[in-house]
Amino acid sequence: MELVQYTNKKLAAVLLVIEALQSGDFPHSHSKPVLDRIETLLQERVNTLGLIQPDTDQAVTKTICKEILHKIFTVYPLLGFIARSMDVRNSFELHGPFLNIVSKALGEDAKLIISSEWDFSPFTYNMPGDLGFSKVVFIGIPVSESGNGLAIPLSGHELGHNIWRAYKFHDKYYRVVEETVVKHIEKVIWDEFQQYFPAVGAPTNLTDMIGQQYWLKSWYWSMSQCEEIFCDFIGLFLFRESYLHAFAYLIAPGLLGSRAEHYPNMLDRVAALRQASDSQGIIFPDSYANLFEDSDTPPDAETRLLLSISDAATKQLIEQLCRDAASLLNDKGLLAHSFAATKRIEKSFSMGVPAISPQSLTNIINAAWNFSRNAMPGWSHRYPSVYTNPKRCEQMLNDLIFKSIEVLEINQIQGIE
Amino acid sequence: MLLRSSTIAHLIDDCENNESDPLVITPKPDTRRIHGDSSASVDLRLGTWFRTERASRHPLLDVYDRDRLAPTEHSITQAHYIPFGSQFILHPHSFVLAVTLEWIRLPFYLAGMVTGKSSWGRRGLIIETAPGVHPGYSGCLTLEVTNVGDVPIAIKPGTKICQIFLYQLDGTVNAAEGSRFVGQRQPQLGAISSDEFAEKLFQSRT
Repeated sequence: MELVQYTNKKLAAVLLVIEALQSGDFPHSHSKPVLDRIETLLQERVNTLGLIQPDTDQAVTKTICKEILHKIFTVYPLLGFIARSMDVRNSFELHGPFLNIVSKALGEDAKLIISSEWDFSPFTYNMPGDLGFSKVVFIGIPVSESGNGLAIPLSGHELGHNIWRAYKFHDKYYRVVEETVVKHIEKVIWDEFQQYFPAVGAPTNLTDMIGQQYWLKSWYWSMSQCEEIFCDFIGLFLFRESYLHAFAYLIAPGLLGSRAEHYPNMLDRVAALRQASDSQGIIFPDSYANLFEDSDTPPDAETRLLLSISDAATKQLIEQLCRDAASLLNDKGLLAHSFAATKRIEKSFSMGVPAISPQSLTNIINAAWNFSRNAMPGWSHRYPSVYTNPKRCEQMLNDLIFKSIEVLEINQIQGIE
Repeated sequence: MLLRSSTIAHLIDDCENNESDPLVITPKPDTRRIHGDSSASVDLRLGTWFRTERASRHPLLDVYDRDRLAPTEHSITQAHYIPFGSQFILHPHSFVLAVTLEWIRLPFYLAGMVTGKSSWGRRGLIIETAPGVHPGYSGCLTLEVTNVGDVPIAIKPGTKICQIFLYQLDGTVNAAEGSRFVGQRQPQLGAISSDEFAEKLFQSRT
């Protein structure tokens, strides 16, 4: 019974943390039902533990305790994420307008929790289905960027992961990627592939159970790369040019060291962004690609070969991924933007005032990026004491962005265009 | 000269056509209603950000103590965000910095005077004790809100909480000088500045 006591104590401690969090000062209400759900899940485990008797089979007890420990491990980071969602450094004003986008994309019952992360990479939680969070979008922004209005487009990429999951794009691309990988091996690099994996014997064996295991990694990496590219396209089509700038701001020129296989090659990723930009009339900056560099290729030749196969397969699917992302957003009415409104907002920023009728988040963020990249036109003579102080300049622009977002929310609530 | 409400409404409506020195209030108030008003002010609403004082390890709030460094805004206050639909409870005899929902930009020929609304004052809620707004100011106005009554008061973002009277200057101020008055979207403590005159007095017996 010692094991049961330990597990009970751990569960009680986590439940205590949840109780403390439930009484927290949450600015937005969506965290509470998630906490309640986690509490219910853990409380169910407490009840299960209560059924264990001294004569219960030791193996059964161990399995139950293992499952509970696994559950604690699963929900624990989420509790930290929810705790940090209360931090005032977060972009609280973003919640309403971004929830509007999330609801259009995933349905009216979708929930949104935006938080900050001590990890310099925006991400979203992909929670196991049994937790019941399939309609909750968790978006984590690096803590130093969570109050930066110019970084907002990166949330579009994270929403993309939720869309990929909700609309079962994994299932749709499962076979397509497999066929593309096999075709590439067969038609383009068969000789080289055979040198590394002579056991396959002939191209016709590639699809049997033995043959599959040799290119499974390529398939797996390409699936993941396709998802990343798709998410880039969701971010790009939602936020247009501002996505390109925010993306470069956060991750250019790339990371040191060997590349992560589940991400596309950086220059391929940028080329895909260019292709998708062209398809939607998004202005792709001339020297944009020069900001980036590829990471080092993996040191061992076999991994290099397998990765080259996934890269090639991903590249061949870019057009299809682009069509899928655009068509989904178009169907959901999420491709709306206005050059005229963007220009009007830029003019407002130049006067040192927020947008009066922003119409969309995209218009605000694009106006802000244009204004910032053009060195705050108008401020040198209107706000010289701000203009000569880069920190105040950034602060004022950030305040203008978030006040504009609040005006957008007010207009949406009031039904004003 | 104090501006009539209808004149203010006209200036607000004209702001997008005036690219040199407009009066801007955003979110834009209902100017059709203001036009019909026979008053001389525009109501302003309560914003979503608040700042309360908090207990800290600093022994006292001594803004003169430069040697030991005066406490920063973050170390003695705490920010709170109250979204639309929620409320902030101001307890008896307590004080909070709030902010107007509206971002205001005054032209260089106008100055403003902010006062509370009598309907709130009669309930013990006192708003704004430093009411002057300088020409060229741009930002949300920080409001000092105190509950001098004996019962807690709930206040919700979006509530009409104060009003601004606008006065025409006998000329215009220098635009570059006016640019010092740039506000932010959150309530700020602001710096307490000293000058040569005060410094001489401070040091006279040291």
